[in-house]
Amino acid sequence: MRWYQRLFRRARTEKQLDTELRFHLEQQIADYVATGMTPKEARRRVRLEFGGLDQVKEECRDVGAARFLETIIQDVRYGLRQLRRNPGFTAVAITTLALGIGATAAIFTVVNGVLLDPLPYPHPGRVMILTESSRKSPEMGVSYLNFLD
Amino acid sequence: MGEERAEVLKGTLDMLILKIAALGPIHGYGIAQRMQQISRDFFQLQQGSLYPALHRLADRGWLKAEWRVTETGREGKFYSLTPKGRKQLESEIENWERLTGAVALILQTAE
Repeated sequence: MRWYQRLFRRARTEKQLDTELRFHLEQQIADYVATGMTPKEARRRVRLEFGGLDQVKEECRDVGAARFLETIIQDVRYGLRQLRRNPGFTAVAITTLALGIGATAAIFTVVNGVLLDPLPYPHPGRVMILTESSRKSPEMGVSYLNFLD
Repeated sequence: MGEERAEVLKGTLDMLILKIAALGPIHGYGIAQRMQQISRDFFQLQQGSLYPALHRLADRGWLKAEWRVTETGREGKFYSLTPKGRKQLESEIENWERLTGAVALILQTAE
């Protein structure tokens, strides 16, 4: 089975795993009973030899790439459930995020417009500031008429 | 052999499973049985640990699993070796022989 198929066939996979392991346990019990053990004794011995059934199942489930996705999906579901159970917390969290993102976006818009975007002229790199200087003051604005001269 | 039993060496379990599956389609219980029989009960295998290994090997494409009806009329999951698995088995056996050969050499000459 491909890994993506496993995602959608969890119930089937689970049932097959159970069938497979139970097959083993029951065969072993039957074999021990055939050698003269009482069924109770055989069951006990098989359980000991096999190890924890649920642990084995969990290890089998851990195999493969689908496991990673399954875990993420479980986590997301769990998160959503928790949010639904605590509407107050959810509201605060969402408001915080909304304000944070909003403020950041607003400030970035200003910074972007003022500092980052090139000026809306052709050859913005060649825009300059002209000043005049005289003995009285080292730096003055240039009047338009002077500029034309 | 008495009480002297070995845990299956880590890393060799995969190789042993592949080798047994190479003999023909076999279910997990059969693999456990055969491993005990052939090694004359030397390997003490926690039987449950066989299954995660089987699933891992199947996931890597070295074993192919299919459901079949057994002699006793039950449905069992049978594993068989894929061509990719056969290649893997060959390279693992080669590694194993190199390892044991080197160890034997050291034991013989370091006296």
